[in-house]
Amino acid sequence: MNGITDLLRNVRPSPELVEKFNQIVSKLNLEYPYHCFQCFKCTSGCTSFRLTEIKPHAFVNLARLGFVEDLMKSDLLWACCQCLKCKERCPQDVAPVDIIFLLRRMTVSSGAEIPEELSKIIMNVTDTGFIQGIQKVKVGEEAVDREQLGLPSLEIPNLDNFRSVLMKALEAQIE
Amino acid sequence: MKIAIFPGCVGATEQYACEMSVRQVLPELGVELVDIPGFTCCGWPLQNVGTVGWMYLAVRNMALAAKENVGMLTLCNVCNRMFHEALDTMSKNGELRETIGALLREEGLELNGQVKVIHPLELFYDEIGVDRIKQGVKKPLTDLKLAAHTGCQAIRPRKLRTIDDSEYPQKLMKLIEALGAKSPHYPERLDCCGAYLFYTRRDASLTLAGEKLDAVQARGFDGLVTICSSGHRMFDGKQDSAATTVGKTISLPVVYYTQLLGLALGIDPNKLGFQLNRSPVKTLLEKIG
Repeated sequence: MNGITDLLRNVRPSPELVEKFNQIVSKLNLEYPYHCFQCFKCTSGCTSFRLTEIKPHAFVNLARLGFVEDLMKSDLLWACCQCLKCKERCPQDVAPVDIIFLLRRMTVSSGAEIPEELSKIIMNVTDTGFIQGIQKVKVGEEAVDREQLGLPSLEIPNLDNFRSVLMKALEAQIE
Repeated sequence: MKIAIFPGCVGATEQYACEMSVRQVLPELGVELVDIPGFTCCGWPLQNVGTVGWMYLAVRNMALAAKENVGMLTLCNVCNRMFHEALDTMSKNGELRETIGALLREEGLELNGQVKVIHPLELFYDEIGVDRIKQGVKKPLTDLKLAAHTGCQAIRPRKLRTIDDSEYPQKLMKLIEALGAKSPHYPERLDCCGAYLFYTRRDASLTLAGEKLDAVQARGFDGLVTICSSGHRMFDGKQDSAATTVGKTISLPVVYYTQLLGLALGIDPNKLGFQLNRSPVKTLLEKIG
């Protein structure tokens, strides 16, 4: 894993990615990262920081300094638990979590690998409409599913059409 | 009032007790339930992939509800946030609105105007009201001290919609107290369940759940009450692995709020899905008697 200081020492910003990043920020009306004055309030309240050393303020700062490619390669990109405290509490209305998710989308569209379990649920959604198949759960010795518990079916009418429209939606990159 | 249950992936495919108990308690409180075929995932996982992709899923679900002219009750906090975020983003971005509108037409759908997306806390606290709930209680849950877990995505970002206060949410506490139990403040009330680290950092995810369970147990609570199927899965469904991860012995009953409400309304625990809870709810049921 790249440490933040290593990033600053070793790498040069890639202009295309920086431009792309800035374009998406303005296109999606994301809270402008240049308003951040590095007060660290986001990092001090970050749920994941204590466990994974992710620093939301550093993501914002490095992104605006142009280290987009390196943030995309950082393991820490996948350490956000989306508690949204950073977005809620920022005195400048910046949303580090939105920057992190934007970088994740740029990573996926670059074709780079993403965490396996996440990739699995994404594939399931595009295939079945849900993150996982209908699970059997244990009641005593028996395993039961929705139907046996009297809950209505989850069937998607015209599943093929749903799949093909969803694929189109995923290909329609506005970013 | 008519409403469609939007169970979300975790509720629909695994945490069946949430939906079972909601289906039992709402008719008792004068809410009519409508089933809408074709609901899918809210779009959250695709937020990692592409903006049009996740928004299409969110808007498609809302369009299905709009077609039947009913509001949607989200049983998972994340789904609630995604729907509101999709509406907000579309209202600010004409290009996205057009792209998604065109995709919807391919499925014979459209979304004109707004659809009511309602969180259980808004439904129970703001619409039905604490007084109405109190009137319905047949079996008061006296002598119980229960911790409320509102969940991150229900209370943040407040700018998007205000379901409850983002630093000191109290609606769930008051709804628990309406049933006769005590639900005092505890310092870990805002701690995250870790659900959305589960797919990217499993250890950290289970650590978050385990630490919160341990803290709640150490403070002498009789149980933890959830109002989100994703949080419920972490605290109830994964309690054993969470305890192992943090190296503690944890034996804390975890119930979905509507399970608890159902008990107080005098509904049979099996109809409320208590047989499906993985945490030791038996001890809680015995205390209630």
